[in-house]
Amino acid sequence: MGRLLGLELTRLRWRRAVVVLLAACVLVPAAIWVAVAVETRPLTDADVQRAEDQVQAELQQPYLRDEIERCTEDPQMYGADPDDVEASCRSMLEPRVEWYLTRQPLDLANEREESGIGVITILAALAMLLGTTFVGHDWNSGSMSNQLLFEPRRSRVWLAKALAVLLCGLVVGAAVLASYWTGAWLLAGARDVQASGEQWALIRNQNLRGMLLIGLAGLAGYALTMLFRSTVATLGILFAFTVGGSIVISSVLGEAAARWLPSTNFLAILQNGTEFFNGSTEGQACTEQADGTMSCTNMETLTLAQGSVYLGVVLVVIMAASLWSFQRRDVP
Amino acid sequence: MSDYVIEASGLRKEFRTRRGEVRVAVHDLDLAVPTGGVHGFLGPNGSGKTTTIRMLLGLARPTRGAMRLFGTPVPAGLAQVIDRVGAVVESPKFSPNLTGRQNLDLLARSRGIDRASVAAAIATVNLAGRERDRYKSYSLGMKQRLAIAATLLKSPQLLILDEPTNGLDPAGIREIRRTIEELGQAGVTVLLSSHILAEVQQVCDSATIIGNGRMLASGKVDDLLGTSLAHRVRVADPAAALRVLTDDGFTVSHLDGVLRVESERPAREITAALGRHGIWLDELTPLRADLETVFLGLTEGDRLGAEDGGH
Repeated sequence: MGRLLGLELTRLRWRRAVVVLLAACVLVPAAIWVAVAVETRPLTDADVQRAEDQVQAELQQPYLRDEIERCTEDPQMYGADPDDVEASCRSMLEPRVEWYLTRQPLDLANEREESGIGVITILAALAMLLGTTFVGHDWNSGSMSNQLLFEPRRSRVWLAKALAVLLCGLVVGAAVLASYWTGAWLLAGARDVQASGEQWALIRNQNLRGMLLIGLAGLAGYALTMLFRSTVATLGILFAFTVGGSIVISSVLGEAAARWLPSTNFLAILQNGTEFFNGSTEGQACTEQADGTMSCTNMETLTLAQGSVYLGVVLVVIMAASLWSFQRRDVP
Repeated sequence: MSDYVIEASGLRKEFRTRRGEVRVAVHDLDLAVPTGGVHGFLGPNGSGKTTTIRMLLGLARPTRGAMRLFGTPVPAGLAQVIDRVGAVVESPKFSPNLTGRQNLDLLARSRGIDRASVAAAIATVNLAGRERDRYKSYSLGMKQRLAIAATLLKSPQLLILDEPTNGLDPAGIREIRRTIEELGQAGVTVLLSSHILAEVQQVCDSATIIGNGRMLASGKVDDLLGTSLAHRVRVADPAAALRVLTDDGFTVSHLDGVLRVESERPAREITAALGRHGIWLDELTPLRADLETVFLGLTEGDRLGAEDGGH
């Protein structure tokens, strides 16, 4: 088995499409890191000066004076403070410098929930493509039959290829995520941005779960292609599911559909639980407040365990169908 | 140890069409390929040759029937004998973006075959110097030779070649046939699937003829062709020879100065009868049925059926 695994890893390494996808796994997160670095760079004196100039320019606009006049004439409509109407109207309507200083400083907690999730999602999609194109090539070129003339035990061949894809996804996920967050850590250090140990623990745990999801996404792409025996067919089905799947699930399950969307479950695993909107009456949770009123919400929490069970069952079903099909069906 | 490297009995393969109809590609076929020599597997296109080979190699599942390679039941025991079997099924199938060498390296590694054997196989099929080129840049002949090199990696005792000369130029065909003959002489049993009659007659020691998925005949090529029952006789005076031979009990016909003598009696009796009357032979040639005649006679009724039966 070790020999077959080594062989499949070599085959993976020699495949051009795989090399291109691996390059994308490095370049896309690098581009995201650069974008984050640029978007969160500290404000300079020039930025502040530019914002002040824009405020001054806005203050000279006639429409602003007209608006303030309308506000003072009818403060109730604008919700202005009746005790000091003019000051209240000016406070509400006159532009302020901070309105033009929209660039937020680097915040690692935010990055974990935004670019961090984005990077993992992109890596998972690329890993799925990698698993698909890796074995799709074997089917398209017909070389699968040649391979089976040398190793006829199909379950071993299936398993060796699956392990190679999984291993590749895990290693690439680990390396890229570690590099990305090392870059974020360096950036934070350079900008004197502090993050607590608890925040780093959250980042580490999210990335560990993300690494696993990246590996399993590759495995899912591989298993689907072994089932459909064509890269194009697999990509077509994935595309159709992405576009039409949510519509179908929504039309069948109605307001409670979000619970069963793969993306919601993916986020539940990644974020150690996630909230989703359940518009059905069963999904409404009401609690009595201290003042006796009832407060109701349609937001429900999907836990890590629930998301894991959902995606785990989907993956196991795909893998079982894929392995069964490979063992039973004739190979062209 | 079995006297046969390949044995199949009651082998049947059914395919289901998209309309749900069942089509039978191989009808309860019995096949026995003796150890040693080159065995032809002859049949029209679509007669079930490739399907049979694919079942023997575990690439297709038989609907029913039993198969053995080297006495081992397959596909269950295929892993035990696969190291002794080399095969090219239909066209060569390799990764087009890898070099010939890389393709062979990957196959060799799956059986733990060393790199020296890869180099030796490449040299055997005269691909040295081109092994670092991408497979997709190879000519059809080179692809075919690479496929044969792949079969040689395992030093096989049984070589299964499915239409190995398809698409090759005459030089390539000659080269492949020579390789097959050499392998046969070296003790490798070769099963050569072909619809080219001359190829089988030229290269094979024995043959099985199938049509529409059924075995029609099997045996040594000479036996399939039958013993000679007629001779062509050319003499200076054919009319006199005709009279002499007819008087001596031979059945003789005369056409364009050439006599056709039909009799189960040996040729020397023709010589003796003519010699006694001072008629001397310019030519005495045994007339044998060629494989084409045998083949067409056996498959005539099957060829049409084969078109919808084979895959």
